[in-house]
Amino acid sequence: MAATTAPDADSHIYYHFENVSKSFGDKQVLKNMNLEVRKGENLVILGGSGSGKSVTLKLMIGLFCAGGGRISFEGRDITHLKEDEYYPIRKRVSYLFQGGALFDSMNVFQNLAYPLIEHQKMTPREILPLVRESLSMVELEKIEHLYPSDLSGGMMKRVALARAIINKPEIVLYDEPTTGLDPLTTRAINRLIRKLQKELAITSVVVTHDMSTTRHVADRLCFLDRGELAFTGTLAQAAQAEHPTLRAYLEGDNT
Amino acid sequence: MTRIFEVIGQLLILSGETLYFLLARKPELKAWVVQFYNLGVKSLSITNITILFTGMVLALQASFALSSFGAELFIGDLVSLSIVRELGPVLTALLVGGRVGAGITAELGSMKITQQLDAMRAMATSPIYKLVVPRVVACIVCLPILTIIASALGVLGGLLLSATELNISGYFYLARCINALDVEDVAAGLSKTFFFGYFIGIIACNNGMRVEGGADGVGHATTDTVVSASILVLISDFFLTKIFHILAG
Repeated sequence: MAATTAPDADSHIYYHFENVSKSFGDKQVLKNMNLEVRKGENLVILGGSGSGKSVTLKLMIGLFCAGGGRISFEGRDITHLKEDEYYPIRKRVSYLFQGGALFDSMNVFQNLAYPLIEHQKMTPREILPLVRESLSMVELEKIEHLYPSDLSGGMMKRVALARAIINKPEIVLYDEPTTGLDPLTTRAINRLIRKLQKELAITSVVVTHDMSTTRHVADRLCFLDRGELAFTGTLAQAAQAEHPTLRAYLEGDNT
Repeated sequence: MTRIFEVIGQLLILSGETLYFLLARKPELKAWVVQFYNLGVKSLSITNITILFTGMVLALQASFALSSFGAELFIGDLVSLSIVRELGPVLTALLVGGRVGAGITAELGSMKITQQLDAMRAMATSPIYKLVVPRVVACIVCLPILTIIASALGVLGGLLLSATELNISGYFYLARCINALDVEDVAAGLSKTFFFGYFIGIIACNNGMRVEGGADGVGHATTDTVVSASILVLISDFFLTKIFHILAG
């Protein structure tokens, strides 16, 4: 189905979810979700394991298709596009996978070069400085020749982040960017998400259950509870919210 | 029963998409060469050794049976026809199905569970174009070549045994082989291997890309590939032999 332009297209909004649902077999993981991703913001989607956070991110980039409702990108309906019709969006939106998803048959240089070779037809000589620049953004250097099996978990995640930002995307979707990392690396990644927003005007959608990441990067916060969007607002508004699970998250962070 | 139709549907869809990318996109020759080496060159030892010894065993067994009729001199006919028409293509396909099919499923399955296939899609590239096409093409191209080499060695195995154990001269053995074989025999044996290669490649890729769960899922998918590919090779062998026989008139 071809993408269509909605009459109410809003130039300040990238993604708009209207009553989006998603099920896997009998299990409904998202129920009537309404969500907006605004240009230039850092939106954090907070929630427990199995609450549908990662599914929401995958719906944004077409890795899953919605079971019901409507998803639009810059006003265009993208709910039921064919695989190759998602390509223009995927060239503008990067995805940081939870485990990094680095290609283990390729070294770090080849991993980072992959999107550039595929879409910008650049030569290795042109790519090398970009790879180094991208690695320095995530505070890594001289590891171009290493393979993913030679890297620690934290390094893998940072290399994956370097790959996600190497082609200067407009939006980065982060799936649990700081889970399992030490506090210093967590802080570095939190800083980087802010830095990308300030310096490159990159919009970020961060899925996490980590409150420190939420506090550092969130302009707005969505709280998902068992597939339902229980809260949307700023951190200050969240502090006043009545929702018991959200309160438990916030208070748990303070204890 | 529903599961069988589901799998057939999956294989047809994947075949269609593979054909589309094969025809519509420029081939990634570097990836193809890597797969020719991994799937073809690295399978040479297992196929050659197996069929060399199969040829020797066939000659030995045939000598026991034919000697009771005083027909040992026709061992060359029996060995060459058996190897070229049936044993060479089928055994090579079964061995490649086991080695290569399992390898492809395990590799793609591991990529699936570590989200590498999703990462390819997320970077606006197609795992079918990047991974499936080179592997299926390599299977289709390499299997006939492996069969030719292995069959030649199988016939050579018969020659070695005939010359050393049965006192039949090598020249006579080869003369019998050439006399027994005609172009149709070679074509009938070889043409099946293109189909076998396609079956192995597409089943292995489909199972690999549909792995669910963790290491357990990869293990199940790998076993499933070897079993399905072997059964399909043996069943299709019967029908292809029948079809080629009818076509040859």
